[in-house]
Amino acid sequence: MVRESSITLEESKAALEEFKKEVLAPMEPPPELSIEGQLEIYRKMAVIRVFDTRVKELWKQNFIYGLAHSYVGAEAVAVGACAALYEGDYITSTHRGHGHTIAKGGDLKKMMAELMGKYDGYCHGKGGSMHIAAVDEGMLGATGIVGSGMPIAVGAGLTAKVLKKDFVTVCFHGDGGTNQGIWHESINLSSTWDLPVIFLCENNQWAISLPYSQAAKNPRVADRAIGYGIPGVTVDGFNPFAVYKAVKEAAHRARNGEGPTLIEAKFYRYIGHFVADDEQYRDAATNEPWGALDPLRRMAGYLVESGVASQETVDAIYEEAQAAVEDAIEYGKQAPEPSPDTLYEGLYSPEFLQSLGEEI
Amino acid sequence: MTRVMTVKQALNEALYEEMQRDETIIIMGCDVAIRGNPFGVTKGLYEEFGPDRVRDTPISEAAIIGACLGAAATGLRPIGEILFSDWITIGMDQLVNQIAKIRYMFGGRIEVPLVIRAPVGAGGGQAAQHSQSFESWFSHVPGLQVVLPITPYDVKGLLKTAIRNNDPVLFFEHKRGYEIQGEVPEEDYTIPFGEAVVRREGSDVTIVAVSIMVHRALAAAEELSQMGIECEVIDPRTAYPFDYDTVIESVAKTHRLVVAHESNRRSGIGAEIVSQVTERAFDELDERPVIVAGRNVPMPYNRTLESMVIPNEDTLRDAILELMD
Amino acid sequence: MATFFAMPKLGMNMVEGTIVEWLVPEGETVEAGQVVLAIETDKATQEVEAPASGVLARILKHEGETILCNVVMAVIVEPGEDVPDDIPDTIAEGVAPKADVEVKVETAEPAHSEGRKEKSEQPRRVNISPSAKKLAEELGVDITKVVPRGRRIKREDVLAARESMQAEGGPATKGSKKPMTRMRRKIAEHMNHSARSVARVGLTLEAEVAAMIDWREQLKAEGARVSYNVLLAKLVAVALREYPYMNAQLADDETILEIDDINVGIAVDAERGLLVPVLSEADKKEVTALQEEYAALTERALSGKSTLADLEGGTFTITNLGSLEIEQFMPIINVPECAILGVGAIVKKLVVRQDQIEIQPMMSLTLAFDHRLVDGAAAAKFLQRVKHLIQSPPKV
Repeated sequence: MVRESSITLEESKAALEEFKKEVLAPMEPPPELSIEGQLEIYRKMAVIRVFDTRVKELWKQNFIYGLAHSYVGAEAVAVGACAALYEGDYITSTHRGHGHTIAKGGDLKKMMAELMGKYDGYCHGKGGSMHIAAVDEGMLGATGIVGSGMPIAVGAGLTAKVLKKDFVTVCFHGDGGTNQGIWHESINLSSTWDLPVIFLCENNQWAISLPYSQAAKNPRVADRAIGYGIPGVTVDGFNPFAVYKAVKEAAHRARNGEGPTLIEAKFYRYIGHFVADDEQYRDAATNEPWGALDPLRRMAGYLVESGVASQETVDAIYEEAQAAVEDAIEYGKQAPEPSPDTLYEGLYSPEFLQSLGEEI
Repeated sequence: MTRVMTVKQALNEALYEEMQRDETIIIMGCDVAIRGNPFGVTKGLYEEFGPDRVRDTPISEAAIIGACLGAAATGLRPIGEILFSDWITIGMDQLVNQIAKIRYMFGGRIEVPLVIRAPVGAGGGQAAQHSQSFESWFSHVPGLQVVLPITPYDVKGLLKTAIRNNDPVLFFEHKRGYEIQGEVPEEDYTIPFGEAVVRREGSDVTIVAVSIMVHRALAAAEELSQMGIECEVIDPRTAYPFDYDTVIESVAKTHRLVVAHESNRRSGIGAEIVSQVTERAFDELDERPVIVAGRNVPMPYNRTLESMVIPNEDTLRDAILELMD
Repeated sequence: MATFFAMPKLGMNMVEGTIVEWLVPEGETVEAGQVVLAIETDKATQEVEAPASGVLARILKHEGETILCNVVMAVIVEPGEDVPDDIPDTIAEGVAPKADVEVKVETAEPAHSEGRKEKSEQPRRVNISPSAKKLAEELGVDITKVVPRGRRIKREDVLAARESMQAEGGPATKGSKKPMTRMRRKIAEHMNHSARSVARVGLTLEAEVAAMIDWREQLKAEGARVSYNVLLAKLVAVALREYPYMNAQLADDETILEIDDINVGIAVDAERGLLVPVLSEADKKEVTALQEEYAALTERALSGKSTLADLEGGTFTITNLGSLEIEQFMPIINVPECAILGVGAIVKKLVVRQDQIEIQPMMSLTLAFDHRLVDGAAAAKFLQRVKHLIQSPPKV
């Protein structure tokens, strides 16, 4: 039948009920996570929330242009996952890379400058939002091709194996990526070779206008793991602790040489696919029921209710986040544009570019 | 001290020596380990360096190429082998959208020291999906380097350069060239990219020949010499970077240009070479430049049809005779 | 058929013209090509001819009016024809009647005429290769005067034109032109190079050849027909083995290379030009073997089938014009070799032997050598040795 909205309100509510029954988990921090650790998780989530909210506004004002994809609503996944990693671990990203970069420890100023196309940005203005990369911090870059980060993660796992290093690589990808051929090839290859990779599917249930229920016969991404002989688990993607625990365990396995794990972090994409998405394909009302599970609110609520922090502290953290983002925006605005003779910089290794001289 | 060996042996030696020199170099692809590659290029490497560094992969060209990127970005110097260059198409996104662009997109903050090796070329009834050569596609992509040597001396020196440099390189070996013999020095040496070699001097016409066409051009040149036509045959060895200086110096002497490549004519690398030389050395041309290349058709299976499609020394000779008329 | 007489485009940049005066009244019969109108353009006053013959039946534009090119000014009809009702405002480009006298064409095809007028305004288009154009500029050759051999002027055409330009001037320079063949050019280059770079000195003597003639007869009696050239090649090779400095070449500016193999080339007058096939290791082979080789080499050379192997590797050359009655001549050295032996005809001469006059068959030998590598006395010693060998051949 011809639909007016990709999903009806009934379908949305039903999905929510099922989610609450099967996936939703209580906000229980892992025992090894300190209070500072929990506050740090909240802080990063707040920064992502503020950052990407401001990005949308800056985009409308043309300080940021082209394509930008917001991580609002997904904060728990990136932050929870990265909190479980050690320094030296890697992550690969998608087109929705701001959250991953911030969670991995990216510098807000360099990020904002990059989004504004400035030379002081992480990629010297060459990448923008969709190719933002914080390589030194272990974030191997955002990419605009769905699923293309996956074999890169496999390659990183290969390096760890061959050089006998104990770093792991978390491969963020979306529900949309699970149906790319490369998804299959990557998981197959890394599981066959027992590479230390963690495939973290950010199932926000929407691939632009297509709900996952209409993209795959089996709506449980984690089930696919059976086919590859690796563990697969679905976790509450609105819950940073749930994601943390799953990643921690998967990392442990990986470091032990037991190979990859498939983690499906299930949540919901409240916002449009990209900053200018008018979301004509779905009835706004269908998002409402899920709004109650806003991860930032949930985390703040947990902190206060469990007595970990006072409301004042939580508010202060949020305000600090806002201030930090404003600083970054100011920095980005002031930062210089790249000069024209940086056009070919980075095209090849510096030694090769030099050998070419004028001839590109 | 030099020894005579085949292209295949020279490749094997290069791989062996490099892998011994640097333990971050690994090889992966289908049938590279125990089988030692269908042509024998990786023979013995698995036994010497073990399954960690010489890896047989499942049939997953996209993953192989993409994993090379991930490995290169994190500390290895991988060599990915694609059994037939025709199948690089399965990993095109990884090669063209990721590998070629990632250093640039990330502002130069990442290095991609990888090599993708693949056999190219036609003949022997291998038909449409096992006979292609994509040097023109990939030299079109900024961020990639494309190399196609044909002599043992060149394959060894250029493969070493490809492995040692910090840029992604497509290394195309002609599958009918593996048994070509030549002299290879004992000592370690590398050959820089972007340096052509004049294989034969002559003053009547410049032939720029790519890969296996070098040998066909030399054969044609011998015949033509008896008819009083002296050809200068240039082997560019690398499709990108390409040594135009040597070609132009030659055209300034002969005033005639012929470009020969095995892959089909339309939008092939000959078009780029002719256009560049015409632009840069217009006043040196006494004749219209000529391209001798395969016909614009998928490679047919039938032997006779196949031989109609592939340019050989006779095709080249006839084209030159017509030009000189 | 009516002709729509429009303002003609009389120049590349002409856009409009002003009618000054109709020189013929309406209704008058006119001839194609007859001047019927004076107009003014931004260049000058110009005459306009009638584009067709007939009656100037209707004048639409009048004195003082400025009208754009191709706008119809008048209508010419055939005698007895009516002026058509629908007269177009303008006529399409390219169909405009030509204002040129050349239109004696009964069928009056206006389509072509406009174009022709245009071309006469522009310089003639010359098909010339870029390289030839550059060469012509350098040499001061007027490319409009060069007649190409093919569709397009090439370098060789420019060079030929230059030659004939230089040659032109006297009646003695008329003749049939023949562009140099590739081979001719190569020979010319080679000879030029030799003449310019070698310090050539010539030494001449005469050798008594009675013994050599006997030797040849002896071989003939044994069933082998050996040419004099082969005998000479053998004897020269023997001498070269004794005087290796005559079998030398300049390796570079500072090195003289005395070559191990003695490969004697013998000049052959092939139809295409001079060729020098080479008898390799002439000192090591018997004359009968050399003769076989020689026969094959010359056959190939004469039929234009010489291979590269035939022609390369020579270290010394013999050139023999004896068959053409030439007694003595000074040859050019076949660089990079350092010497060449010119052989003349065998002629019976009066010689003095032990104060007695005898008639002896004599052969003149001229050794041209490169004084950069070899001094006079040294070369003379070699030539003397050759003479002695000829006069008492070792018969091998």
